Amino acid sequence: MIPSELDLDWWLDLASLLLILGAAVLTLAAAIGLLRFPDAMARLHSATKPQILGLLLVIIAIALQARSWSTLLLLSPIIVLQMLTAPVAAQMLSRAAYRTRNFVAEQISMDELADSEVEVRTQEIPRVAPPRES
Amino acid sequence: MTLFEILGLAAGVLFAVSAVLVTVRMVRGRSVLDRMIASDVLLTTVILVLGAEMVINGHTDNLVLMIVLAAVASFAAIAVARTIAKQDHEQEHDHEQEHP
Repeated sequence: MIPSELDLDWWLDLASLLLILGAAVLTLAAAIGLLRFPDAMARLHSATKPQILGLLLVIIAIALQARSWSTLLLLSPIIVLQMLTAPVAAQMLSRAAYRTRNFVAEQISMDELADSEVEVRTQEIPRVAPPRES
Repeated sequence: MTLFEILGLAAGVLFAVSAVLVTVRMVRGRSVLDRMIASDVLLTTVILVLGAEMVINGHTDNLVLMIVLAAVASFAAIAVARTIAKQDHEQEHDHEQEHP
């Protein structure tokens, strides 16, 4: 199955398929993290793995498989757009998670917004606030 | 089966299992944010599957679809996050009115 002499096309196809497999493993890791992690912030952490690295692997795989400049020209806006918009979405989702108290406070090592205005304004929400000792 | 077919099949199985697990999280949810994150991951999986299908079958027909999906993927997350923040403020407002 493996060619005896150095066959560049065969090795490039093999590399692109291995990159696809790596992206699939990253996606599976994100899915398992979504199921296993306890709060929205940890789930957000696992969700961002295939968004950038997995997409980068798939795009390199397509570039290795197609091997043409026009395909590369079409591939570059995909990763640029994803790198521009994915952090914005993740930041807004995590801010909403913080404001709705959708995280486990014991698992946070540092809370830089603890004494800011956001915390003071939102800690009295009755439906999602943690139970008090009274 | 050749080596390439085995590798492509393995990637397809992994993508399918990931989609099922993400859908489970989207159904179980517990909050709108968890469902939105799961939906985001499912859309990313769709983008990756489009690219993987192009690599396995050796064509470049899905490139425009990948560009459009990558451009609009974050709109849903931003809209839901803003809606939740507005609900948050309204709840806080009502609460302040009830207990001044």
